[in-house]
Amino acid sequence: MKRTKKSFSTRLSLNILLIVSILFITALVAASIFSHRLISREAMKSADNLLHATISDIEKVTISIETMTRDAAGICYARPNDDNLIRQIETSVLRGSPYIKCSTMSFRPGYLPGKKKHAPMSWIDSDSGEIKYKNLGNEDYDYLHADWYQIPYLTGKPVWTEPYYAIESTGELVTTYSYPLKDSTGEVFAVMASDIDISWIIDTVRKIKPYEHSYLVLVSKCGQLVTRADTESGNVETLYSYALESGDPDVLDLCNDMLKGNKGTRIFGRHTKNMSFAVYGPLSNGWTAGIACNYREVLASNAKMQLMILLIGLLGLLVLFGTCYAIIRKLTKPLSQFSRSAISIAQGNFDTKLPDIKSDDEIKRLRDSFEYMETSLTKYIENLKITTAANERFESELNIARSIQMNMVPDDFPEDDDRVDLHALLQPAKEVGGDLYDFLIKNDTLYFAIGDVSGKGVPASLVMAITRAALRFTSGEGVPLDKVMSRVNNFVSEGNDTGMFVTTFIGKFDFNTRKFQYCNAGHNPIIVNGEYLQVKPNIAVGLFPDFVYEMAECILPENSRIVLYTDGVTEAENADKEQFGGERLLDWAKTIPEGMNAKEANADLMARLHAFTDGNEQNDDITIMTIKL
Amino acid sequence: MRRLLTAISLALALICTPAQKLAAQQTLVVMPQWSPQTQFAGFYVALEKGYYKEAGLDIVLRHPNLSSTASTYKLLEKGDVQILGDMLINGIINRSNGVKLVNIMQLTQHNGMLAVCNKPVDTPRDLDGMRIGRWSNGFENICTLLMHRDSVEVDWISSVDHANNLFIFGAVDAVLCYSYSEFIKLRMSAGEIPADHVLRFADEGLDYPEDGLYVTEKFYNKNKDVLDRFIEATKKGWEYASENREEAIGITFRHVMADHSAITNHMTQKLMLDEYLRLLEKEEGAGLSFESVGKEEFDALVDKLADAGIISRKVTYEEVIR
Repeated sequence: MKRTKKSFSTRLSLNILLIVSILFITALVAASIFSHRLISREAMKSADNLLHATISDIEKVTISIETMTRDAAGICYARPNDDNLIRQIETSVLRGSPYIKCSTMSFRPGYLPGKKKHAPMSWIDSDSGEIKYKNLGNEDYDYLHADWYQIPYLTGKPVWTEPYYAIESTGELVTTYSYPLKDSTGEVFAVMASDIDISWIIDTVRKIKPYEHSYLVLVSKCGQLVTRADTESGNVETLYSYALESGDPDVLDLCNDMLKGNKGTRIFGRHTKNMSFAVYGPLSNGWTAGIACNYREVLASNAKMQLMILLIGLLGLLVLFGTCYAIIRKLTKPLSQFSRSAISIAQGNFDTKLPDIKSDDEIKRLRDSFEYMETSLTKYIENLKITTAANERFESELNIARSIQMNMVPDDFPEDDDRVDLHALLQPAKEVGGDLYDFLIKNDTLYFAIGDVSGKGVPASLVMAITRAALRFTSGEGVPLDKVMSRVNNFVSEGNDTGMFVTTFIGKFDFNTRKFQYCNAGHNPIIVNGEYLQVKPNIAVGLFPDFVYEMAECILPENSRIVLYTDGVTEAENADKEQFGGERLLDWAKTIPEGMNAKEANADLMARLHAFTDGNEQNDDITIMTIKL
Repeated sequence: MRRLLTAISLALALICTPAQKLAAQQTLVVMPQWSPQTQFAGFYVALEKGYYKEAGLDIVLRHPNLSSTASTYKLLEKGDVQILGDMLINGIINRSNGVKLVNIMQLTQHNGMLAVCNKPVDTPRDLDGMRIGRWSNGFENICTLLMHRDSVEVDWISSVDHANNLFIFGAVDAVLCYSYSEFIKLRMSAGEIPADHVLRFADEGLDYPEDGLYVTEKFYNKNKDVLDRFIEATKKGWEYASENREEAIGITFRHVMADHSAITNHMTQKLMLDEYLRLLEKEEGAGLSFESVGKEEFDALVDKLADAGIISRKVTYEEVIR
């Protein structure tokens, strides 16, 4: 897939956008956590205030009913036998509070003389609104085992009963406040009871909704959910059955704490969508109340706000990207022009017009640099042209010199002469070199020479030319080789102020007698039939005029092979500065196959040299001459 | 004339109907001990699933009200009720008191009675001197045996229904409960009860089975086949309820709704069914048993009841158990 190239402006804008986005998201998350905690805390506080305000409202009524019942009991205490008085008191209680629907004074059996069970009861008829009266003790109803009588009777303490349907009076769902009356021995002899219709409590509580789906529960002392009774389905939950059904350990802990009558705040439904908190506290009548609020609902406005911030932020990031892109593009526009200028300059247009920069900043300095570069390049190219022209001229001359030098050494090797197989090659290290070789066959005699001028290049090539000429001039038939060498020495030494010298080896072979005469002037020992020829080295020519050279001679057997070479062969170096050396040369000379001719042998040695140097630069002239006699 | 002929035809048709067909139409009124709850789920399931109908029985379940729980044996003797659910101990007492009844089926295999106290309790002696809440209709006989055996004196307090509220309000020190019923209701009201506040009578050497089904001896002798079919269908009902508990609770709730005095909730009925099914197993995890009480165990219980003065005449195993 082809990767789309993004411009500098785009990349820089994207980088800025990335950094700002990270900062924005970090800030948003931090703000979200902070506001979440703050709103949660405030919601809990608000729910707690609401709960306690509701509890206070309910308690205002229940405490007034407690006071009224207690006061009524106190009046009855003086004349328990007076049913008329009791009836009057019960009537005044019913009229004294709109919440009380029934008032009963119930006596312990046998307390009143001649009366087994006696419980005068007054209640407000729900249909007519009139106050009705009957003696509950005469009915089949067993008030002695009813909670509203039995509990205060057994405990000796006033009590608010569990909600129940008052089937003996109004038929309404009521709770009863029962106040025990005690005789002088402290034994309970009667219970004054006031039934209150709890529908107003349920209505009050159901209206309490801090949030749409939050709810307030009112729990009786025996765990009944007073406000959540689902009588239609026959399923009447208690607080604890609700807790068990929920399967949430947090709800179970919460409900257990509520049933203990404790006050507190708890979170439940953790890790679910319905994670909620509850605030709860007890009422003075032994009941407990709690408000549950769903966090999702509590934090809904906060979530909306965060969404808005996120959207605004995203919009802002888009605007930021666009603005950054435009600004950066404007600022970097000269760079594009510089880019085009650079291409033009690279194509040789050193007078390319550069963009005008009015600011005094990096771009301006870049423009100045470009301008300086143009000027410098113009000068450099002019100099280069001059130098190149000079070099070209020099190279041309050198090529001519090389051609001349190469023409100085013979290349017409004897091919049809059965007596001799001779071949030589010269490979200068530079265009021209200081090596030389020569040979001549005349009157059944082979003359040959090899030489190496100290140094390389043009100076060496001039000395080489002189030496070669000297050899030709001084050699003559019948002139001994030591004389030839002496003459050459004197010739080269004459006017040799530079101190250059030439190592030279000259030889002469008589085909008839197979006598081999030779004279060495400081040259490398030659190899004859795989062995270095032991010869007096003398000194190189050109150093000391009138030096007396000595020659030697020997008889060569049939099929003798002579190898002459310059130090360019033995001193050829590879990349590790290791030289080819005399040993390798000797090894090669010993293993030249019998059938290999002189040309092939020279080529083979050159191939070995190339393999050894492995492309390393040749640092000296190389000359090889192989003769098979 | 036409009416006379029709009447004669109907009479002949009835006479010619096979005995089996007559038996199939037989109506039995069954009265459990208490108002609708999953304690009786097996009966409701057998009714709903048509097991009784398949057995050729027309079963009518009639729950007692508060005032009739004390007089159920009179209804049995009168023939208003054919099959009565009650505890083994009550069956023995009533037989001893002259009610010609027999046990045709034993349901629970263990005793579920316990006492919940307002402080930690270790032995029955810890109950001594306590004010203890109980039912008003004598379900506490097994407790009486324990008190007699361990010479424990308590102050019994009866309530209209049950004394859970008295206990929660602190009017009594302890309350008697059945593990499958009042104990669960108490938990639903007051929250979790500490285990060391509970004294289980089964752990005190009184693990006598409880719920069983009783008929008069006369009815038994005349309707053995009908009762066998009833027992088999009832077992089938309980087996189904055990395998399909949520469905059984749903079926029970329809009967709860029909009885307007019943106030309960799903969790209470669920826990009740689980506990009751546990009591129906002889060995835990071995499946429902319905095994009759053994003679040795029966005689030992009779001896204890006689020693405690609860019965004046020792009844025999053969008299009661069928």
